[in-house]
Amino acid sequence: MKKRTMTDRDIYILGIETSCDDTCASVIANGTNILSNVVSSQNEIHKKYGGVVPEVASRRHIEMIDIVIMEALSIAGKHIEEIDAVSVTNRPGLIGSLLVGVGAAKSICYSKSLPLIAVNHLEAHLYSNMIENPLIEGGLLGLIVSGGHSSLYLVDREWNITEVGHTVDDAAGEAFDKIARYLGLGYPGGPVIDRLAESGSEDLIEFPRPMMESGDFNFSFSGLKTSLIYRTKKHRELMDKGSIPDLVAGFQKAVVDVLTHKTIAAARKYGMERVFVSGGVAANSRLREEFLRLGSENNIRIYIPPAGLCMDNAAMVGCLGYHRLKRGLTDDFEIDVYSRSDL
Amino acid sequence: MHLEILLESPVHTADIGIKLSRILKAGDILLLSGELGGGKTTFVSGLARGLKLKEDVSSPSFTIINEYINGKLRLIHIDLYRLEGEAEFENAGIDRYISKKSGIVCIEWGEKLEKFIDKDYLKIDFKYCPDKGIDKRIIMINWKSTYWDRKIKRFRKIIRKKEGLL
Repeated sequence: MKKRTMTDRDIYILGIETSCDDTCASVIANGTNILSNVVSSQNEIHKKYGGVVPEVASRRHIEMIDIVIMEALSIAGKHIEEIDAVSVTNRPGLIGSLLVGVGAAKSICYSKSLPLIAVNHLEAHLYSNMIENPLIEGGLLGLIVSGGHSSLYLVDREWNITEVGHTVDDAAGEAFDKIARYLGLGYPGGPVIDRLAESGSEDLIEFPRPMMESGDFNFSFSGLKTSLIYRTKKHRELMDKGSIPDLVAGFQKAVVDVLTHKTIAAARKYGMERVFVSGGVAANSRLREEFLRLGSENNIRIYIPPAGLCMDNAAMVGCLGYHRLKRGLTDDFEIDVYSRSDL
Repeated sequence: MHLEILLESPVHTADIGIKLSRILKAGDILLLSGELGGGKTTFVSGLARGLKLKEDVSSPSFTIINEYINGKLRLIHIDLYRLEGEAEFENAGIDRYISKKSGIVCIEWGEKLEKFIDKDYLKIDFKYCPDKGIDKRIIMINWKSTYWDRKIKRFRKIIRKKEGLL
């Protein structure tokens, strides 16, 4: 039997993500084969934790981190000794939350003499599209659209990333959440608006298309939110149960139009034939549909990960970690955490 | 003590932020309250421009705390929209930012913090005026100390005479 060398054996990365609300861990092989992808808000973890986990509480990560990492290893059927490196988000995010994940990653790497890879949460979102397309080459446009971010990036052939646009106020996911809460639809707002909008007519209530023709690639969603709130203040009947689907469908269409049109325009301007869409809002069914339609109309190939990989997760952190490891980009134990760090 | 100003537009809201920035120093705490879309983030982005920050200020509702370090003074922009109760504020590290005096601390949905805070602060409340138009807002500025008394006196001189004053 031929002896296997380092280059042709499988590389297992433990990914850890604690930049925001969820504590996440994943084991991924060769940056493409997800063996486990555990998120603390999942039901099974709730049961192990013994109750409902509050929406936001950074010190909660301390209570969850061991459970989530052990669960990720156990589902993957891997012992910690079989892991080749640990990849962890160290920016941007809540300092207290990031510290928990980075602390756990450093401890594991120190005690098991493993390479440590610190990654940028936003870059990891872009790489969520690499999980299913591991051999794709650089030279593309990326859109990250989530509760905290709405930004466009140029990714060159060497995978260097440059921002070409961002929201000047609210992120798209934030606009969904805030409108949902305002209308009493619950949190998170994205999925419920997505579902309600399906039974509504998106052309009945017209909303502005903010910054659609601004000439740059920035976004603005705060005015759209204000427009909806103002309208319901003037016309109380819009808040009636029967009108809500039309109201949110019109609102969703405005968000989707701005995101898709500006992204396609940016791809055309920079001559990119491929677009990576990622982040929680990329799970929105109307956005996916419109992106695929406009993509084929413009001969631009659109990549969107499955909904589960759009949300914050550690598989994307493991995937980016794998690619950085392959490029020899590991970090030492001096690495710190950063609340903000734009790509 | 309080002061009321009618804001004509988002541009005006940001402009009041720019002007207020001129009387602020590290350690000052602003609690911003008011409905969604009331202009809180617009006001903070004006403040940031006044502090000569190069970056755009985006809403921290999701990220909870955004720190801007490249201006004349450090700006710590906090949003309690998704947080409830003292334990969650503490978990998010809000208490540290309030006591550190490392910069200007602007806290959106600051009314949630009012009963827990033991530091002096300026409170700014944003209100819609549906009868006046979609862009119009009224802000009510409230304070309790002589420290803010002196500062607001300077602020009154900076805003053009009778500009929107109610």
